[in-house]
Amino acid sequence: MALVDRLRAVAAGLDRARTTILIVELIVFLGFLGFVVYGTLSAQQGLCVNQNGHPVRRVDIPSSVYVFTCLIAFILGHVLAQIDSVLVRHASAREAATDIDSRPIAAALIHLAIATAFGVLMLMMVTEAFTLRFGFWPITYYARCSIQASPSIALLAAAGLCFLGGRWFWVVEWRR
Amino acid sequence: MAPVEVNLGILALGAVAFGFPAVVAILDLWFLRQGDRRPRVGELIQAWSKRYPVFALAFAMVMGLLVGHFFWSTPGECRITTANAPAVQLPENDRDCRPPSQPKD
Repeated sequence: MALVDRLRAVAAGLDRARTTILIVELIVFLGFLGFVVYGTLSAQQGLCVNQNGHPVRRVDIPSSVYVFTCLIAFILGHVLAQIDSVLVRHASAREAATDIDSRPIAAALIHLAIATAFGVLMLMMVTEAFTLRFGFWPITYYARCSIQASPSIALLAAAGLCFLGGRWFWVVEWRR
Repeated sequence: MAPVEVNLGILALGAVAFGFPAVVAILDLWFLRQGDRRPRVGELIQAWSKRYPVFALAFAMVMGLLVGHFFWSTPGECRITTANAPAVQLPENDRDCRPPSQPKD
């Protein structure tokens, strides 16, 4: 029983740690969001160089750094999800969490969220096609413009999204 | 420089890039407060991915395509300003830029 109590105490400590990590994560993301809002709304001119209708690439970080950072973040997301899910979280809680069939409201919400995400992606592609067709700046140009305006923050944003991708969509479980 | 209106596009992208994970973190904190047996956002999406692996693969592939498209824009050759060819990339400022190949005699 002493061992069980000790394991429970460790798990409680990890829950506190997880809460702390989530709060820090939230502060960091809100801080970057505030930086973007302030930087874009207070600027007196466009944040990137426009030449011949295209954003000019003047980035100190090679694009391969973005791609490999993204790959590493994707793998890290998978590894941390496995550690969190398989090694740390209680087996009963994990089973309860992954059994979405017994939770119709949760299942409906998650389907709605995923369908919305697919819809947003499709809308982005349609927008990209129409803007290119009719001579406006496509979303790609704004993305490259923001990379040029702040390369390191763009790198963090890319790494964060890839981390979430690895955490959520690379779900092959390790052997317990 | 680009016109000031371009900054609104950058603001929209920044809001998506940082607002989305912030909302997920808020939801996770809320789920965490509900107790250990409540699923978190990540676990719900993982459960969906296990249930529908082909859709999860498609979603991850589209995300990867977008990241590659936005960030991996390596130019083939540097284009240098001349009287006849206006500049698009400036080699001294672009770490991806490689010098143009010399024409063979």
